[in-house]
Amino acid sequence: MVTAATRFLARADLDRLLGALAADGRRVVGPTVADGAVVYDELEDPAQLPIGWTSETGPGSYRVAADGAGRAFDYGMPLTSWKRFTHPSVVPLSRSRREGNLVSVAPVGDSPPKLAFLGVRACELAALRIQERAMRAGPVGDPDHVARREAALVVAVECMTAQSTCFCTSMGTGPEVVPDTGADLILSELDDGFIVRSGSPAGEAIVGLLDLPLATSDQARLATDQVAAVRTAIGDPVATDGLPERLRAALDHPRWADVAERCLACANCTLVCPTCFCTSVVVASDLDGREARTERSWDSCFSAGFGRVAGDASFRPKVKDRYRQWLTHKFSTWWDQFGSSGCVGCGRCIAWCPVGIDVREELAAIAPVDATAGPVPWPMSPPPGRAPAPLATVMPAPHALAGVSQVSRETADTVTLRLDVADPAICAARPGQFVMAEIPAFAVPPISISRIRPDGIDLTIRAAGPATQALTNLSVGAELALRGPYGRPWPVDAAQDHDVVIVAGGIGLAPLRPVIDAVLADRGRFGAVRLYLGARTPRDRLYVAEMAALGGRVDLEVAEIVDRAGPDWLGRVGIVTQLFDQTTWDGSTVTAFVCGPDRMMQATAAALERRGVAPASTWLTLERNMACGVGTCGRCQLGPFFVCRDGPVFSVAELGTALVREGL
Amino acid sequence: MQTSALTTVLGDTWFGASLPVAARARLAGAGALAEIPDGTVLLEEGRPCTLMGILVSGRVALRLVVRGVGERTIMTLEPGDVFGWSAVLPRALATSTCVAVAPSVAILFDGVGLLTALELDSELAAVVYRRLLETVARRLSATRVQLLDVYRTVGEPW
Amino acid sequence: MVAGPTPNPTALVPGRPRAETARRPRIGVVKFASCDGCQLTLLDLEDELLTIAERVDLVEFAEATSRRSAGPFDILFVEGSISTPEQADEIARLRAMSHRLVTIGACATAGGIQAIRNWLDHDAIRAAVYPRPEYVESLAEARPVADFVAVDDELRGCPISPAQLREYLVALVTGRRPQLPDEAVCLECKRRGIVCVAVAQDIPCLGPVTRTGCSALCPAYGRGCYGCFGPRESANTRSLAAWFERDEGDGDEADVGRLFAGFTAWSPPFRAVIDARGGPPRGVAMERTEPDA
Repeated sequence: MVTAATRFLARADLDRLLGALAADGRRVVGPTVADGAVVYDELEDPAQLPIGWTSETGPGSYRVAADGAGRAFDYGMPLTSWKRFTHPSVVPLSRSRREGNLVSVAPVGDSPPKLAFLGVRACELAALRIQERAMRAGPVGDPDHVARREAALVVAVECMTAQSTCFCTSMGTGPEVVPDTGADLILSELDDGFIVRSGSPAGEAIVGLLDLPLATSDQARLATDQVAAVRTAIGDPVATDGLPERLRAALDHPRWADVAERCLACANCTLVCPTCFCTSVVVASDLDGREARTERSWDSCFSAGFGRVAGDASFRPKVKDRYRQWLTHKFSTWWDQFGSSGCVGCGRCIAWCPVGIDVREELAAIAPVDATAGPVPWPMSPPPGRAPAPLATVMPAPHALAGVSQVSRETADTVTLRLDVADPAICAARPGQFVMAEIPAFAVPPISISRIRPDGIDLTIRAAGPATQALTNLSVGAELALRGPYGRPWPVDAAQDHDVVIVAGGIGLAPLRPVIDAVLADRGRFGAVRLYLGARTPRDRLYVAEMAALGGRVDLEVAEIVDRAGPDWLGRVGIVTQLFDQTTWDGSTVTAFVCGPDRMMQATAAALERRGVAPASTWLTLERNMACGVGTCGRCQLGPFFVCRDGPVFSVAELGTALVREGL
Repeated sequence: MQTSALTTVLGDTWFGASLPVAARARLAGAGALAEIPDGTVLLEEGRPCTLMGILVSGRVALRLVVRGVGERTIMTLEPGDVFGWSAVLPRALATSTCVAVAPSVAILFDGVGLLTALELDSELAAVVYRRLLETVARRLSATRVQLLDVYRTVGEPW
Repeated sequence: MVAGPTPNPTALVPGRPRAETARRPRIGVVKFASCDGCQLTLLDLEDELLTIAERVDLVEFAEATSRRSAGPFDILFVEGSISTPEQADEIARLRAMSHRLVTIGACATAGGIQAIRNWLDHDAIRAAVYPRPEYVESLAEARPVADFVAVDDELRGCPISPAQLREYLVALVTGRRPQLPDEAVCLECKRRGIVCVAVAQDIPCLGPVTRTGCSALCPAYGRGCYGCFGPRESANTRSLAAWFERDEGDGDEADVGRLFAGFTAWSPPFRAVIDARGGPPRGVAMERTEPDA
């Protein structure tokens, strides 16, 4: 058990603390001066600490200086954050092999080293908690992150100095280190030594090894007074009450364009931030693509490729969009996603911005306290009941092998692969879910499941880039690796006793086919069923024979239309909303499922609403740039949502303006 | 067909359904129900638009010719849709070729006759022109979306 | 613009590894006005180049083999800027002979350091250097290859990065999309844990507006980035230049212009900064003047 006793470690005995940590089998990582800054690195000797060093920071500026005094922890906020060790900049993920038709994939990951983090400040403790929460929130969590965090013993230090860029007080994270916030040991530095408190049984064990005298009440009070002075020095620079709502209502503020004039979109703020966790996956392989490796590396919402989908287009083409994404995520939508602010007030982003943009200033300008309430872009979710996810036992989530048993060409660029899959989880997929489909040496795309069978699944894939092209080139007998099934499925059960309308545009029919299968498998449970199909031209229609057979049934209505056609086509030509916008069925009893290109879904949702279908009963599925598929890489974010985890199926009501707003 | 019967048929179409009943009768008086065999060319692109029609059943295709490519169907009309609305405009020329692609039935209006009737009857003109505007607006909206070519394949990041 | 021939050779089928297709792709490497360092990067692949050479057919690579070919090429790597009329004709001919044309290096992608002459009086230079300038044919400006022909891909750098070259070649052979991120050098610095020279030492650094690829080589040695890989997308050079000048007095604008007047000076975002400050630094005798009467 943790005792409340405070002990005292004389300055001269600091090496004993390091010794005790080493005796616990740990490598000590802590602050040291290098290249004109304080960074975190491995320490073997207390002499390597920044004894007598202080730093001064300002927007776009960081300077260290030796002040000749003897304190080791007065250096302020270093460049490095502890995420360098819990969420390293490059992490190997998997190795895979392709021999002819056969594929094997195995995760890579040794046990993380046992470390001791020496010098963790209160704000950094909060950052460790916040980032870990984010990494445990998805369906499988990030076991690598959790393992690294668990392998670290945290020796916190209270701040006895403040920098001009600190604002932990406003964010509620410091400067005091309070019990039960993740520290194993807590040090408070005085001139002649350190007050030592233990914060966990592991910390208590270390203290036990050191056999320290108790601290005097004078010493304890000196420490408390110094920390209190830091709190006074910092003040309360950021008005955080109601900030998430104020920011959410300020998505169209003119200041965003103003910041964009100055912002370099260089990503420095996100990479120095101790809670930013976004990553991308890099593929490496030998010349033949037979042996491949994937690794995960730090990425940033400021890079164009982060929000890329079609071709070179990006969801966030303008710097203004990217800066808005970062600031609103950090201070507003982080609350929707993880139940806290994403910012701890460490001030690194202010100091290390090459052009000195100061978030405190920007927040005050964009979301001032006295702002009049603006339009609400999406309903703010109640802090979601997202308890930390149970951990997967391997990293990444296990791959299931699938064998191609049939290849059907649907159109010039689209193929349906019929896959035999032994993995029961994948065969238990629900309509609307997707898998990450992997061929060694290629990027890994998310593909919607287009049919679910007891012994496997179908994937309908459009060759729109090298990786999807490689998938469509697979022949019968080829193997590929799947991860999943992921995503929130279509709420088919909720449509029970309702009339059902299904609107599919182009390849959007693929994720809707399992809905049709499910409804027809239990036809009696549903009211009238109407299927509206749109495609570019007659030659671009999917599942032509199957849909024609459906058209022959009396228990559902099927109508199709194409955008353009030659004179041989005697069917309908026009846009898919023309199939139902002048019908007379009662929209109030309808649950609608819609999928197709973004523009088509927007037009369809609007037309359905005009027909009386409630937005809360209109469901669509979104597509975003995904690397992990499980909510830990950050790429698929849309406002407060992770499309891979909160979606890809959403109701029009819950999306609000996220469905149509540009640059989100 | 008797005007009163035609009025009922008109009232069952999208076009006629929102017209006041009295207006429906006056409009019906200017038209006639016609059976249109499959393949009938009702209007030719660029030629004078001599008639306007409201489709009651069947299907009509609107086609344009692109030299070197051939005929393209740009839209089809379903029961309730209007073709030949250019007939009520000055210098009425058909904007596309209208062909029946299935055995169809439509209420046809002689262009000159309809124009005269609308000029003489301003109350009728008001409701008919508004409904025609809605028709054209709906078609313009659809055409714009077709123009976006939303289904075309663009490269993906994978 | 001259485009390449349209038929897709069977040599390269996206998604199908090289070993399964019919013939080895024909690769050419050619050079215009350049120092040769980018071609050398190909040779610097050493053993890997031998492995690659088994999978491809190096039909033209004067630096490495005496085999010569005037085309056709499946892939043509082009180094160097176009600086003479003869080169302009040659690149057009080569483009028509190539299925895929890939420019390599700052000269080919941005005009190179020699593009600094584009601000100066071309005739005056020729007259001062050559006794009989009428025998010397050169274009008034040294310009990137993309100003003359359509370019399919580019590998940036001065010289190009062996890692990026390797990735490009592997992607070519395996059929995957090459991973050549268009992001700031800053991401590499931060991933590697390099201390920012600009923020910690006030050393002007073009990293935030320069495309990554070099593993942040210069900041790793305490130097500011020179912009070798050229501007990245959304390069906000105006803001960075203004920041460099924040404490400067009047008359120091030329110093900031000099920072951007390096290996990729001629690329539009860097050129804009230089032009806004009156052109590249003076101190060169050959300025634009009126010709002597």
